[in-house]
Amino acid sequence: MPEDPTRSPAGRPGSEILTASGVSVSFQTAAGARIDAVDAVDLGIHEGEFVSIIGPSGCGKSTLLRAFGGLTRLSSGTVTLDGERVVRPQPDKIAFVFQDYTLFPWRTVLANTVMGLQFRGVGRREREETARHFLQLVGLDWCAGSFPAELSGGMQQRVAIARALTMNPSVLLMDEPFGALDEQTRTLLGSELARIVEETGKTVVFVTHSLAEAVFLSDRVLVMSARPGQIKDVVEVPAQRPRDESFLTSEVFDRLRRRIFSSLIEEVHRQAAVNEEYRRAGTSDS
Amino acid sequence: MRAPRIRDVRQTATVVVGRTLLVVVVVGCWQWLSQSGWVSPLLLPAPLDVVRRLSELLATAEPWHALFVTVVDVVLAFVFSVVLGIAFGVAVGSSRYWSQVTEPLLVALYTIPIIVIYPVLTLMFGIGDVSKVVFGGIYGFFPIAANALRGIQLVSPAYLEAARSLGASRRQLRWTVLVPAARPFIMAGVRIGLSLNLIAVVAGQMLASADGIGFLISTNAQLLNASDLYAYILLTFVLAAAINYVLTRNEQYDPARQARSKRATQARRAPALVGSERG
Ligand SMILES: Nc1ncnc2c1ncn2[C@@H]1O[C@H](COP(=O)(O)OP(=O)(O)O)[C@@H](O)[C@H]1O
Ligand SMILES: [Mg+2]
Repeated sequence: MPEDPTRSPAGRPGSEILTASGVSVSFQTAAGARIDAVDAVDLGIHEGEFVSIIGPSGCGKSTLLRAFGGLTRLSSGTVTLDGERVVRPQPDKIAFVFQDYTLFPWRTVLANTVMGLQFRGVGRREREETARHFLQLVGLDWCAGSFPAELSGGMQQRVAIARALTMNPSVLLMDEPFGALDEQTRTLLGSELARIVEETGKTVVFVTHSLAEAVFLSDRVLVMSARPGQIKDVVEVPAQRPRDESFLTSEVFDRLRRRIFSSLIEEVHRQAAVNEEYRRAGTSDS
Repeated sequence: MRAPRIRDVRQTATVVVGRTLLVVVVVGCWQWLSQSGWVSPLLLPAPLDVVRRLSELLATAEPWHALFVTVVDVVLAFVFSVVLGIAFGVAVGSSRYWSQVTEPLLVALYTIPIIVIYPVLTLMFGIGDVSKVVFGGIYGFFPIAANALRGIQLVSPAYLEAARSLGASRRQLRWTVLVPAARPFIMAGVRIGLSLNLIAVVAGQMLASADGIGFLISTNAQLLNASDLYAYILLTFVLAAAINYVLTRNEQYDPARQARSKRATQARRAPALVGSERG
């Protein structure tokens, strides 16, 4: 199998932890049409690996991530984590960070951070202690009593990361977590995420639309095709993690970014064509 | 922050003055009308006479007993409609199928005059408190249930997905995510529900009972006892105003918002000299 790039990590130790075999997901639209969002994806992710998924908007990245986390029903195929099939959320093993700030606005930062542990039935003292520990890790223990609305977008996402980490998951699934942030905040949070991942040794699957972010953070970058989403290209990043900011200006970084870009842009055009066609079909229907 | 706060205070002051003036004008017209001789004092006693009569009555046990009975009935009816209304709204709202089945019926029931079933309730439960509580409870149930249902349906799916990924069971999802997220809607329904509770309980007492403010009002009307009649009408107004006060107090009680504004006030304690006049 080493010659199959979707299954071989960049010389990283660790066994395969998350496996997708023939994963397809289709949706029924309100109009009755069928949308194939993800089509027959095979993928193996290794323990401690950082994998980014990049692809045109609407190609099925979020759907694939939800499938990994047991948040969506598969039309076919299987997802397994540590050899066990994932058919529903596994809060003790897989944690999510979403793009839209999904902190609950009526709860304080601390009350948001303890939520997973609260659902699990952990006692108040213990869960608050754990929550404070992870808030400290993301540098936000000082605003435990604040409400999400009082925090900037970047701070809210750091809280969401802390909340995910309290569950002590082995896999962190992140869906464009920095997508709504400005460029500088993104860069800062990217480095911070790299540090946290290094400290905690988590396996991360990271959906992004930023080439730089993908190359900077990942061991492997997967390029998804236009819908129905398939893994079109796998690009390994042959540089030791963690990387510092000098990597951003290195020759390797530039080369990889160009390579991914040319692969991606083709799919972006194809997806645009798909969207156009779909829209035409939709309007002629009604 | 300072300028808008000053304007705020001025605005509230002029609004309060305006309100007071309006009340004075209305009461003045009433006084003038009753003295003009155009309207018989049997139909419209002077406001001062009504107030004097009410204070006389308040020295007796009768109005206090009636007030007690009415308040107890309203509170029981309120508990009935809040518990059942929220439970119904939440249970149905978290199932798409049951929402689709029940929502049109709920809206239809909301608009029919439920008072038509009151005679049936008196047949079933007699003319005592039980029929008032059930009637008031049913009246308050519909706005609470309908609002809770709507609020639950409008909760962003992103919240549900986040909570599910954190391992929330269906039950936990309901009470730690759906209900707090729908809280503004639910509270709006609760407010309407409580005012309907009062209306229905007093109306029930007026139609068939042996007790309560509504009973005193309808009896004194039949006896053409105008001063007592108006005194009890005034007492009902006072009760409604008290309930309204409790409701608006409650409206302001939002723990999240309170904590926020507390911190905000702390942050601008020094320049908030003008603002502090309000508190
Ligand atoms: N719950 C759903 N119902 C119907 N269609 C959906 C649903 N979720 C996603 N889709 C469709 O599936 C496709 C892929 O969506 P998504 O995975 O969100 O794309 P991406 O994250 O790559 O932008 C889109 O065309 C989207 O409209
Ligand atoms: Mg997406």
